[in-house]
Amino acid sequence: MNPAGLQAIGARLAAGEAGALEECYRRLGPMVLGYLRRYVPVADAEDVLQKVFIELWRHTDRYDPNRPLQAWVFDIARKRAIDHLRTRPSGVVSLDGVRELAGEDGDETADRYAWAADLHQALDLLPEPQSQVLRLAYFDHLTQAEIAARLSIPLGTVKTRTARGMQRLAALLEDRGDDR
Amino acid sequence: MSDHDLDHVVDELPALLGGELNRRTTGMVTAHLRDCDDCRHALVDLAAASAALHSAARFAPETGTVGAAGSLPDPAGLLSMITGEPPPDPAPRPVDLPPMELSTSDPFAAEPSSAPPSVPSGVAPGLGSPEPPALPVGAGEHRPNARSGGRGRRLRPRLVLSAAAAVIVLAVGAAVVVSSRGSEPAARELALRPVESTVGSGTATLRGDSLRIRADGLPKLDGGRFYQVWLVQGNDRLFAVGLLPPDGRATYQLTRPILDDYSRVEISVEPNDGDPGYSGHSVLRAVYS
Repeated sequence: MNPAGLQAIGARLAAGEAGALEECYRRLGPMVLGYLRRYVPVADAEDVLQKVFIELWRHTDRYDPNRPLQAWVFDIARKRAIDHLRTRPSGVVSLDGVRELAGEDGDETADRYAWAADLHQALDLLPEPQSQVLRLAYFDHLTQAEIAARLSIPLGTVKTRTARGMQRLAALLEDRGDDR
Repeated sequence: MSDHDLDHVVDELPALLGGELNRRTTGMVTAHLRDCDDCRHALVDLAAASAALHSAARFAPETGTVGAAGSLPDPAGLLSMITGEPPPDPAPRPVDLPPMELSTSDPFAAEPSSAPPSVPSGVAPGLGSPEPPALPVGAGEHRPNARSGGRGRRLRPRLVLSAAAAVIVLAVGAAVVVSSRGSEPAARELALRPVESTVGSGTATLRGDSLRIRADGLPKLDGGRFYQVWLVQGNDRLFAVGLLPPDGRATYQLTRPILDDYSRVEISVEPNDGDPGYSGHSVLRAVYS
């Protein structure tokens, strides 16, 4: 994997490199699908997902490599989700859902997902022991004591790995912010 | 305050942010923070990381593990649809595969022909074994394996892993999954259990010469890392079965002698560092003999 991560994929995408599209799909596809499923009926989410990446590919000329790739992808996903809901028969989808998606909340949620993509990319750059304890703490909601028991390591080791991992994570996320 | 004390307080900050400290320790840590610039700076960093982690866990929780968001449509198919060209097919699909040519001296050659379709020698044995074509492996033929070193050492099966190979394997993943036809050898399903820590579960199913893996709940890997399936015997013998696709599902064509030569299946996390050896970081394990 190119260490430059998503931005490097974005640059290759902008250059029309087909392999970059597939890489982008692998990296962001699951997250985009999760985002779409918040709003679009599950049965339709994969269709919309494909439309998102088709648009991505067809309009790579609109991508600014200086802009975070994930922000662009989720922006497209939000628009395609809105299009999809608007073209569905009335009454099938929640009006509240459409309002949320089309309004500021929808923009906010798309940005949250883009931020989550940033975070996961940064987590993947951490040493495995550090990313492991962070994932267990924040995504599996284990306490430090529970993590220590799960991993059969001292509580102090969990504390150290967590603190070091979060400090490194903060630096990585700040670097990404500076790149924008 | 000594460096040791400073570190100790910094180490307590994640628990402070997570509300895991009791009242007394919270008081001690916050009192220290009031007097220590270094720790306050560290707290800012940790708070920023904590905010990002909480946000991701709250707003995009389904992205934390492999397959949690559901299986994605095949990216190669997507690419084909987008570009209007056939997807790159680095390896023959099952229907194109020639039948495995078994040695007549192979004791399993007379077994029912219901074994899963084989893969060509350049690809066999198994998904993700990017064995150079010059090293074909057929049924009954042992592949050289790592022979030295303990579990913590990097054993080196004769296997060349590369980023390109990983991509090839991902594309082939679905292709090597086999379907049952005719009378089948009895299947033996084993539970894949977490090693040490890890999250995840699954099954390893042995049927004839094939090994089917179904792994769920493994953390998503990125940064080039990937999951690798191994056969292991004792602490010093490994056989690289192949890469495990991101959806955690794959079936590998092996040979009976190879399977008999090892006693357990392990799935490890491997960095894409050009080193074909075992990382020592197994996450799932099943013992079959």
